[in-house]
Amino acid sequence: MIRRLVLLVALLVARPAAADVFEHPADAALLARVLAPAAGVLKDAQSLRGRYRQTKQLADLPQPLVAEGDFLFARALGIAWRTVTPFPAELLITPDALVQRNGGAEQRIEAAHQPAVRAIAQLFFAVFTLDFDTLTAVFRPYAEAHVDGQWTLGLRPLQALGAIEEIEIRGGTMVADVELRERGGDRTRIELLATEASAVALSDADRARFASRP
Amino acid sequence: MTAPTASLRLRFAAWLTLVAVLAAVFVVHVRPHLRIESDITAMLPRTAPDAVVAQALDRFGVAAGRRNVFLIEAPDFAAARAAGAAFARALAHGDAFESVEFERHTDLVAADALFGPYRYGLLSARDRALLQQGRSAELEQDALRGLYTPGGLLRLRPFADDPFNFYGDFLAGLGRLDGRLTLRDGVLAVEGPGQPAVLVAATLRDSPFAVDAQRAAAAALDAAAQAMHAAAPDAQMTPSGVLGHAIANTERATREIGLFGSLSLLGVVAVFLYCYRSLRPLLLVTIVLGLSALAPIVVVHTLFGQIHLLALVFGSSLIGVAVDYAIHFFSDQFRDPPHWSGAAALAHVRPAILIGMTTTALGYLAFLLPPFPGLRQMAVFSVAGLLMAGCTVLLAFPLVAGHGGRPMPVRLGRAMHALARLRRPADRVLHPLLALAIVATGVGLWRLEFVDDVRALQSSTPERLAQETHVRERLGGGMDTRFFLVEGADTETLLRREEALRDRLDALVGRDVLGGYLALSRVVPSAQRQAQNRALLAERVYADGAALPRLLAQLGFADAVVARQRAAFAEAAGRTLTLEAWLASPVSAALRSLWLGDTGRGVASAVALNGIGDVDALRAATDGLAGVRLIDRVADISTVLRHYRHVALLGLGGALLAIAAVLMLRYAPRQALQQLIAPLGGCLLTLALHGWFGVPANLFTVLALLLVLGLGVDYGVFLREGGALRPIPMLAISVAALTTLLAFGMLSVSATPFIRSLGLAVLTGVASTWLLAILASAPRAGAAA
Repeated sequence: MIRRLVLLVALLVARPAAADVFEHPADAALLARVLAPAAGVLKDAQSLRGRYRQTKQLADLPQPLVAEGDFLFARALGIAWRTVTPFPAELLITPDALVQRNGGAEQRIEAAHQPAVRAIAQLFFAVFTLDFDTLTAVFRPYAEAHVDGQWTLGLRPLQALGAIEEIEIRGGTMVADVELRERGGDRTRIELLATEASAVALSDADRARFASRP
Repeated sequence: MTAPTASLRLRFAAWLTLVAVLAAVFVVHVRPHLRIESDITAMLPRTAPDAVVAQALDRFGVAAGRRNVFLIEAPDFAAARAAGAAFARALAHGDAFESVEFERHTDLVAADALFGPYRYGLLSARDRALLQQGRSAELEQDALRGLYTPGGLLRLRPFADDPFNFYGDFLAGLGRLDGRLTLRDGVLAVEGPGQPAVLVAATLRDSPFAVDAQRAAAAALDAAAQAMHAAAPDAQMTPSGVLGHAIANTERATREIGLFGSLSLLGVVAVFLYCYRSLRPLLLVTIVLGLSALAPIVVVHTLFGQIHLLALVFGSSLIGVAVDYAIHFFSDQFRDPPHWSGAAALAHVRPAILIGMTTTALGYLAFLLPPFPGLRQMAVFSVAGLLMAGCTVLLAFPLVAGHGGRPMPVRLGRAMHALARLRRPADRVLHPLLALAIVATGVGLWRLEFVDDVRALQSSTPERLAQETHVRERLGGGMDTRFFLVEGADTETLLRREEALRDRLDALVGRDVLGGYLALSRVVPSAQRQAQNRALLAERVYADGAALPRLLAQLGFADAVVARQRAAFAEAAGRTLTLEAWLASPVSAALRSLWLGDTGRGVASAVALNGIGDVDALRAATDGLAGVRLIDRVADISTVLRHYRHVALLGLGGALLAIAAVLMLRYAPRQALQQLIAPLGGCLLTLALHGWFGVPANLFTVLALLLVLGLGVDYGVFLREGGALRPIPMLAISVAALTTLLAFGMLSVSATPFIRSLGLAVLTGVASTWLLAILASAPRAGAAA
């Protein structure tokens, strides 16, 4: 009980500090400077892989919904997002489509028909690679550098993007976590853990994960 | 001498009155309201089954015709966006365009404002199907996946308000964009290979075919392009839409009118100076030409309320025909130069001119036969011009032509005598030659191909077509010209009928027979469908123990949350989204043209299609559906073209039979047959030549042949009746044929395909008729000169 209380207090204290980034509007030059530690690594990366933990906090629901799994980002191919718990599922995010795989079945939503799919794909690619051009085309950016090479990036949609009100991204040499806050109070936090960048091309086995299955 | 002079004066006075009336009507009535139309489809027949449908189609066509899309490309997106903004701002500044769309900030917010209150009656096709089939377990799985994976990140409402994302799915279905379009930084952008590009859409205030509106729009476009280059020097703009084609066609037609008119005029001046060597005939023929331009404009504008540009292009060839009567009149002086006078000429050429005028007018009247408004204008234009020319020659010339003529120029005389001295070769030479000619004609006719496809008859400049292709490729396709027309006694009936149609279309889309479609009822379901949707949700989602309470309880939501959702659902029970509300909202802008409004027997709408794979399957989709039909104007018009080509061919045969009958009455059978060689042979030879050169023939070719009959049937008669004075009718018909060839020769290089078809057929037809008339009337060798 005490530990929970401490945690709650810590959260309450931590929140305003985290929200601070939105007091620091950024331009392209500032973004480049603040994000320099990560940009160098991400620029040369052919692929990124690691584990993730997604914590969703819904308004009106006391306990968070937690999902865990791993991810593989491959330049030009897309992102393979594999959920392990609470149930196995795989989501492929490519520039052209969103492919949901559950067991043998594959459900494909073409980006050509769904602006929302395109928006998700763009957002994920841009976040993974810290693509300033795309990010600043869709969002008003805010940025803050911390002493230890860590940084916080804040994004507010220039125009309605679903219910998303703001996005906060924290990291150092890699993106460490992404938090989406929605109108109505729903919040989704995605932590990227043990991310490894690789400058060599993907193995055939990895490449096959992006191939569409009939 | 007094009596004839008095009669000549009377004629002249009558002519002067006619001219005064024409001039007065022109100044008072025509000039202030002059409207020049350039819509090429106005030349084509109306194919709608009835007036109500015709009106609805017009409305759809007018709305589509006024829409323009401008693709703006630049090396990077920021430059393209800046260029697009500058372009759109400048375009909106003038008043040629009614609306200019570039930034779309409010789309989602406005959509939510409109649809939000009615969301429980709105379901996407997939969600509806899942609910109907009782597959709520799948919906629950989807909802959970949405919670635990990034796939469900973009929601419009908080999770608890719409856990199955029904409303989000419905709105996503509306936001469906075609091809490579995407919404980027608040503007429509184009992705894919090539430079970054943005779209500006603009709607014209007036028809793109009204020549005045074209001028205003062209000026606004120039200014906008300048503003764009000032904002982004590297940016490039490519237009797409009817306007560009309409402007290009107008420019081309205007150029052709000027070119054909002045070349014809030059030819006439040269012929007159050479043949008659006096200023008076030249001056008089100029008056004839001026009046035969004025009269048709007055008559056509009065009858039709406007003049079609292509009627003017066709009319510019009229000079070559209208001049014929003056040629007949002045050539008469060569008969007896010292004693010639206007009065004498009148007595001598009046029958020939009256016959010529009648047959030619009858030839043009054949153009009235098919229900093509443009063709009818051309016929009326030509007949009015001819009658004016004939009247001027017969009424005014006798008094003012003067006395005494000049002899035929020596070299011309020699040429005409040479032609007149042509003798028929001996039978042993003639018969093989004839056989050869008949075989060659037969082969040509056998190779002749008729193409009635209307697309072969329309045209645009290569530059415009390249631009259209470029935009189409960048956008990844566009809407088809075919669409469904749906009618209903009231809006509710209409929407229900659309829904019945869409059930079948969805099946076709599923089979890849159809790429996709746009329909009002996808955005605004019928009240019946909305009630069904609500009932479906009440039973399968919001009821006790149904999907929503189950899912929320499973996730751990408190009962109060579930109760709140069910209360909100119950509270919205009486609300139904109406078409009127949608039409009044800015959200409807992109699809509003599908709504065709009141028709006089109810309301109508269009269902636009793209990616049509199998037209027959689409046609079959309307079986058993009331008030739904597939509109395929291209196929309809092609069918009409083919039908009237058959009618015109029958008409041509009938005309030849009639000519044969008249000739039989006047001449002995053998002579009559000889006289028939020129008109019949001229027609067959023309068609054979088309076959030999691989030029497809069409309705307009056949109509041109009817005109050739009108122009050339008298060649043989004149030659025969001229008798001993053979060189003089020879000169008259030769000069007449020459000026006609000049005029129609120019039409045969027109950029407008069907004018080209007419020109080419008249050119070959008149040339061969003229030649055959001279050959067929050549006396036997050894006969007296």
